[in-house]
Amino acid sequence: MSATWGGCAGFGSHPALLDRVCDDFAGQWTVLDGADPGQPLPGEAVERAVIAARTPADLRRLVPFGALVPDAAQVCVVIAEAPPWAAQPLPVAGQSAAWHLLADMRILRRRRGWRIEATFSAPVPGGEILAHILYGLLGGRRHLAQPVVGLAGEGAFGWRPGDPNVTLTGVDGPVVARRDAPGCDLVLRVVDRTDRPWPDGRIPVVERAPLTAVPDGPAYPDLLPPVDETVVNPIGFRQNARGPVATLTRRAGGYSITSGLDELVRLSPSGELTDVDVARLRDAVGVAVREPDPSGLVRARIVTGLAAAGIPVLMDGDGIGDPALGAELSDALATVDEDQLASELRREEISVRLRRAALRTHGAIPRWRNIAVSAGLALPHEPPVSVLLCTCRKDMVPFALEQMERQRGVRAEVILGLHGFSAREAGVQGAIADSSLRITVVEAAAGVPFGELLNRMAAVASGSFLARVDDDDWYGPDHLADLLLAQRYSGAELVGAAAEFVYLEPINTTVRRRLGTERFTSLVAGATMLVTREMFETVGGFRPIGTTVDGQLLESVEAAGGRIYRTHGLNYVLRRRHSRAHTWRHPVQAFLKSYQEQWRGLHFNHLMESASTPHVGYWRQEP
Amino acid sequence: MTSPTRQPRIPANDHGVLGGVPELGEWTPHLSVSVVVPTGGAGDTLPLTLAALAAQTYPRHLLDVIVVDDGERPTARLPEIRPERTRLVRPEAGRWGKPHACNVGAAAAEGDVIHWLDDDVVPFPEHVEAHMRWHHLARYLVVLGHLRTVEWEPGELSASEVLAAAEAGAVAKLFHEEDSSPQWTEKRWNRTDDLRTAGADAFAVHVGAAASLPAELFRAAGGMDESLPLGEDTELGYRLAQAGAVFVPDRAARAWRLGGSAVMRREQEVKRHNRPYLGERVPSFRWLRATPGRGYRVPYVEAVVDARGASLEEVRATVDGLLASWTPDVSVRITGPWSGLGEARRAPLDDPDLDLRLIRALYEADARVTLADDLPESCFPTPFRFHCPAGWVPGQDALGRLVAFADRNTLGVLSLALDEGDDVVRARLERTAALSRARLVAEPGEDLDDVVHEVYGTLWDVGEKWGVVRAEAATTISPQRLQAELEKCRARSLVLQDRANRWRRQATRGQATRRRWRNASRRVTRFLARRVARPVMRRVARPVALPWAAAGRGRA
Repeated sequence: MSATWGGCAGFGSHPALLDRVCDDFAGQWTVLDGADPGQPLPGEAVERAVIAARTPADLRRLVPFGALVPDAAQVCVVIAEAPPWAAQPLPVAGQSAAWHLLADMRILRRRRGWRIEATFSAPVPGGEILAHILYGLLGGRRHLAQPVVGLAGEGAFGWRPGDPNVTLTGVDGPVVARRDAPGCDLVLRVVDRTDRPWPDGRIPVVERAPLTAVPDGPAYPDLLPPVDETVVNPIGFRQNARGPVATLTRRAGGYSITSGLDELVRLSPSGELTDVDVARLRDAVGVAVREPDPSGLVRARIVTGLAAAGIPVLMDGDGIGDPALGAELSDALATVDEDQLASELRREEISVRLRRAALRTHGAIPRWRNIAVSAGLALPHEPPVSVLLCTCRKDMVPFALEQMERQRGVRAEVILGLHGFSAREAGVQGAIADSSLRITVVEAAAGVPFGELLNRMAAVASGSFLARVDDDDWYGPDHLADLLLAQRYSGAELVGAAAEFVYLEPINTTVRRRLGTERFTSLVAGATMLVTREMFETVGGFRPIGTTVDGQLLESVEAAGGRIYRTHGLNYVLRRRHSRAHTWRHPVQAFLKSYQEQWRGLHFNHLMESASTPHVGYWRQEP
Repeated sequence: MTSPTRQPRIPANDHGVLGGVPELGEWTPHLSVSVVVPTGGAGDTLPLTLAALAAQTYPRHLLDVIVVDDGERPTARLPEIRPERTRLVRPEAGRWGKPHACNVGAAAAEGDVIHWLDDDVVPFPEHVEAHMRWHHLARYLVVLGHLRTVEWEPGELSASEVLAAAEAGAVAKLFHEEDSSPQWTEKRWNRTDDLRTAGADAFAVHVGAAASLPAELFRAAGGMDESLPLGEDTELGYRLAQAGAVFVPDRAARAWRLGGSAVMRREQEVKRHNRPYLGERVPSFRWLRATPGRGYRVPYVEAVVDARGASLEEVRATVDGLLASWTPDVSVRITGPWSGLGEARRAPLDDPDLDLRLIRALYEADARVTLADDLPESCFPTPFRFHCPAGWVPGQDALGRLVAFADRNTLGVLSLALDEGDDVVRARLERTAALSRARLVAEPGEDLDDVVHEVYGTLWDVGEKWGVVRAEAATTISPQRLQAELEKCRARSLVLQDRANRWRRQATRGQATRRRWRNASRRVTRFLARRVARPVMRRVARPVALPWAAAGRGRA
């Protein structure tokens, strides 16, 4: 049994950092981020395995290659830097046998990173330990769904981030079969030449050229490795970024993003962006990508990463038209205007459009769905959403249904709860019949507590997610889609928007409040909550009381160990009615106390895609 | 003002939204103008002025001239060279002064626009046209001409020479541009992008020597104040601003002014003269109102308190709070059914109108308080009105801060939400200039506040932030308490100053120590190298001839 084995990932452009964080390991590093999945697996167990990753993103990329880490009695995982929003790397163990052998474990904070030392009474698979530590760091188990993928070729690193269930194979096969099943459903092979034969006829193979190679056919989005939405995402987006526009430049052996003379971020030649890099770019108002690049794919990859993180990207016409970006992202990039970045609201609108397009086209989940579908595999449908819409005012039914009807990009059904009136009443019946939505009506007497009615509605819902909406608030057409997206990248059990925009009906004024968004928190706007069915059932639904059922659900989710994520508030306008028409805990003054911007009349931002009342000008709080 | 077409809505003083004026000579006018020339009767420049007016490019059928002869002895007749339609009028018997002359001229004027021209001004041929093209764009503009003052000796120039020059397009050559001096207002034009960014203060550069305005606007503002012997144009500018006017300088409306004006020649004396007059009438000149504890003719803020349905205690708390404001020139108007309070026999303590009577008894005699049945639409010429519901008390600094905030952000209406019951209880600061302009441009049936939002701005805030609180929570700070606070702060600042000094001393001392030690260590190193290391190395290295020692010696 040899003494120590060391593997590292992500230090390609930061070699000095590796020595700094692992000063106790002098041996030869096995560089895992260029590893060939087909190389012989380590046979012999070692005394100690050190696995160093620069960032959680690198660790995610490392997970599929866990089989390349030898069994070891001591496993040391070093994360050089973690973004401020990441959780602590407390392992979330499955039923793996390894943890039964645990003798000692230490988790140490090292500057901006972590060091985890685990000692076992016998050698355990290092890759498994790695995956379980990563689960903790990103808030629980998260998995790429079907299909089961085989990876081959040196460039396959980064194609299947965070998935321990891959099968590693050599470039020329064969795929090792699993117990009573083929080794995988689909092989992704990264090779220089496309004419290499693939021996295994039963398993479809998808060929990809290395990123730096010049593509011989027309480019399209699926050629790019996916953006790992679990780590490269809008979490931590800063609404009031003050920095200047940063610039992407070439440097010897890669790229860097600079702001004036400061180098903010150093990127490897393959252009992958990590969570730590994104956190460093949060102060820049945008990034200008004007560098002409011979192999457009690397530039496209950097742009997709930046856009997915919600960083406004400034490009010229040539770059925007790059087919590798996909039509949706190209359209979003075309709307970016440098002058508009000066306005916080306009900048955030741009950012939301970019992240939507990038995550929907280039996220790991949609990318693999696409690849699988083009390879002829049948996949289960995307999870549907059930909208719980409860109202006690029959005149609001048409308005509320209209708000839901304009939702796009999701499969949704509406559970309409009628509190104190019947669906057969005039106006209601017509509105339900006119709607193209799938509507299930639940009726309840006026005396039934609100929480109980919501529980009854949830009982007839069939979706994997339950979304609560109010009958009198305004929702942008991407409200549900953005919530689902936020759920996907945050992994939180409950996501919601911030009630940033409030229309104060008694004084005919719209205000925007400053609430921290794109972060984990314990409060979201009640009428924007989207909760997983699983968590909803864990906490037992809403409390059967009349008021504050939303706040109570948030408390139960937190108590059950769930996480709550608050996404941006640009899709939602809260209607603060006359106090005589509604019971309000907060008087109008409370909303005026800390507003950031104010508009006369009812004002919608551009993402709401509704017409504001026509009043020119708005007012911004003095700095 | 009635107008067949929709009036453009100019925010604050930003006339740029009008999109510029047509080029001179390339448009068709339809409004008529009366040029009013008040003259002191000294008489040697008036013929030149009239000669220059005779050669204006503005159509003759739309232009008439009224010369108001304000001299001690009436002028016998008008000079030969003059516009066709020129009239000579005299002020009323026993009345004198430029403001009166202007009023008389304006009363005689039949044109849509009144154009003031002093009798020592020689306008360029396109002067009136340049003014008039603005008045065709909007009906609430005050246009200011571009004057250059030149030295001038009587008899230097004759009326026929001026006419000839005007007809030849050579008025610019009558004097040397480089010998002329600009008006004091020109600096202000330059600084504010031709007054576009001047906001509510634009009126301060209103100079009446060559200015024009719609006759209706002049009448609505109440004409010239005849009690002012000098500075009447500034005061008129102030009232025009309160009536909603926008001030537009036009650099193409050129004119020569012959000989310096009084303001230029005896500047200090003029300032001393105007100070008492303008301080009383122009509340926006805050520097003229530094004295606390006295009243002024035009208050800065008119506070309005409605006594209907309120108790004596509530009204008293509010009114006393307003009167105690650190902004001294505040007047209070209490509205209520005062005229309905009869003097019929009644039981004093069981009177249904008891509180109203008590309120009246309390404030009847206060010079700063008026009791009124109805609220006039506008508090013109007072620049601000503050509506405060009874029972709510603004802090002593609240009015000053609110007005300063409204000025800084060119707000027309600043509403404060105080409380919410069935409806929102609100206080409200209104800018007279904004409301007047909104009334000028509003379409029938339009919500006035919506229009105010377009011409100035409207904003909602919360009263608490501005120190407007319930009567129970209100506190006034006595001078003694302020003095005590001040003493406390002074003492604290001394302590802090002391501490800072000590730290500074320590820091310099530490620096000195560090420097001493560094120098000492350098000395020791040098000594060791020279006296110890080198001889030792020589002795050791030489016998065994170490290669690096030899190399080292070679380098040394």
